[in-house]
Amino acid sequence: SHAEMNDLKSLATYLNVPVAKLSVDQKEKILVWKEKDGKTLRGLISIAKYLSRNSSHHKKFTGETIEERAAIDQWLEYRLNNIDRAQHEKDTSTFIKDINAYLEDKVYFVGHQLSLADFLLYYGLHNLFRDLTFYEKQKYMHLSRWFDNVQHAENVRQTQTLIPFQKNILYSGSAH
Amino acid sequence: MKLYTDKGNLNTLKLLGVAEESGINLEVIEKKHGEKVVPYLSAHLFPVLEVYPGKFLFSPNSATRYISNKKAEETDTDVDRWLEWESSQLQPVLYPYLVNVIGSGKPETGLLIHIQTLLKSLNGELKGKKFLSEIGLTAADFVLWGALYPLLAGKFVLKGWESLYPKIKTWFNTMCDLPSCQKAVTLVITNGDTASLKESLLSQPVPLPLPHLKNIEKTEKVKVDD
Repeated sequence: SHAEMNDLKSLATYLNVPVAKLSVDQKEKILVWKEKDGKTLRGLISIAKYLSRNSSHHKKFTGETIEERAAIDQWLEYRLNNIDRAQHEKDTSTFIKDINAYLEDKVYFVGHQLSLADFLLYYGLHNLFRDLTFYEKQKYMHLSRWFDNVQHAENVRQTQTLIPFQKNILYSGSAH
Repeated sequence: MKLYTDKGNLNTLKLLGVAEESGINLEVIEKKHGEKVVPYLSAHLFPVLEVYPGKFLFSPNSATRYISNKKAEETDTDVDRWLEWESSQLQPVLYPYLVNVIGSGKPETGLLIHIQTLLKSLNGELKGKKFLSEIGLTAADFVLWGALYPLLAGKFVLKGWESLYPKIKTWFNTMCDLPSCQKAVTLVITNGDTASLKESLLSQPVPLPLPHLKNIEKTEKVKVDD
C-alpha cells in the first residue's frame, strides 16, 4: 500500500491534479482518497480512474473508445491482482512471461498512445525491473522495449530511478 | 462478439446476465474445461470475451462492464469501486470458500469468518439503496450477483444469511427476479443445481491470496493435514 500511495501521487503529478487526503483502510488494506467536500474513493484502480477522468489534459489517457476503456480496466485489474499479489517466484515468472508475449506486437498496452494502463503497469513493474539482470531483460525483450519506452515518456518517470538497458542488443533483437 | 466458456462456469453468469439485460447478442462457444483461448496467457481461464478477432477481454468484470457500456456508457465511480472490490477483495476469499464447500461440503472456519466479514460490509453499503450504484442497475450489480449466487442460493447456501444480511437479501431478490438473471441461471446452472459448477470451478486458476490474509491459508493447511 505504501508503493500504491506513491504511485497515485506520481499519477496526480503527471495529470496535474491536486492530491487529496490519502490513507489506508486498515481492515481491507486498500487506499482511501478523501476530497475536501467529503467525496470518498476506495481502491487503487477506482482512485486512479477518477483522477484521470478529472484531468483536463488527458482525455486520451483513459481510452478513446469503449473497447479501449474496457481493455485499460482489465490491465489495471491485472496489475492489482496478478502483479502486486505475486508472492512466489512462480507467480512472478508467469506474469512476466505473459505480458512479454502480449506486448510482442504492441508499443503500448492499449491502443496507440500512452494510457493509464501503461502508467500504472510501469510503476507496478519498476521494482522488479530494478532487480533484473541484462540477460533477463534481453530474454523478456518485448516487455523491456515497452518499459524503456514508457520510462522515457514525458513526466512519467519523475523520481523513479532510470533502469538501464543494452539498447543495441534489445533493438536488433526485436527487429525480426 | 464471441463468448468462450466452459460448461457450468460461475463467472459466465455475470456476462450472460448483463448481455440479456442490455440486449447484446453474444455468440456463446462452449469449450472443454481448461482449454486455452487467449494465446498469450499461461492460465487457461474462462470466460473470455472476444471483442474483435484476436482482441480478448479475459477479466470477467471488465467484459461485463464492456457489454453494459455497449448499450449505454457510464463512468460511475461506484461501479469502479464494486468491480475492484469484487475482484481484489471478494474473489481471493470466495474462490477457496466455494472450492471448499462445493468440493467437501464443509467450509473452513477461517474462510467462513472472512466471508461473513465481507458480506457484513456489503450489507452495510446497501443500506438505503436499491442497487449498488446511485445511478441504478449497473454492471456492478451483475458482477456481485453472479459471484455470490452459489453462496446465497441453491444446495451450498450459507445458512442463516437472509436474517444476518437483510439488505443483501432485498437486493439479491431484486436481481433474481430480473428475467435476464433468470435466463442466465438456466443457461449456466444445469437443472438449477449449483453442484454442476464444481468441475469448472476446479479447472480455474486460483486467485492470488491477499497478503494480509496469509493466516487463513495456514489454518486451512493444518486442517487438511489432520
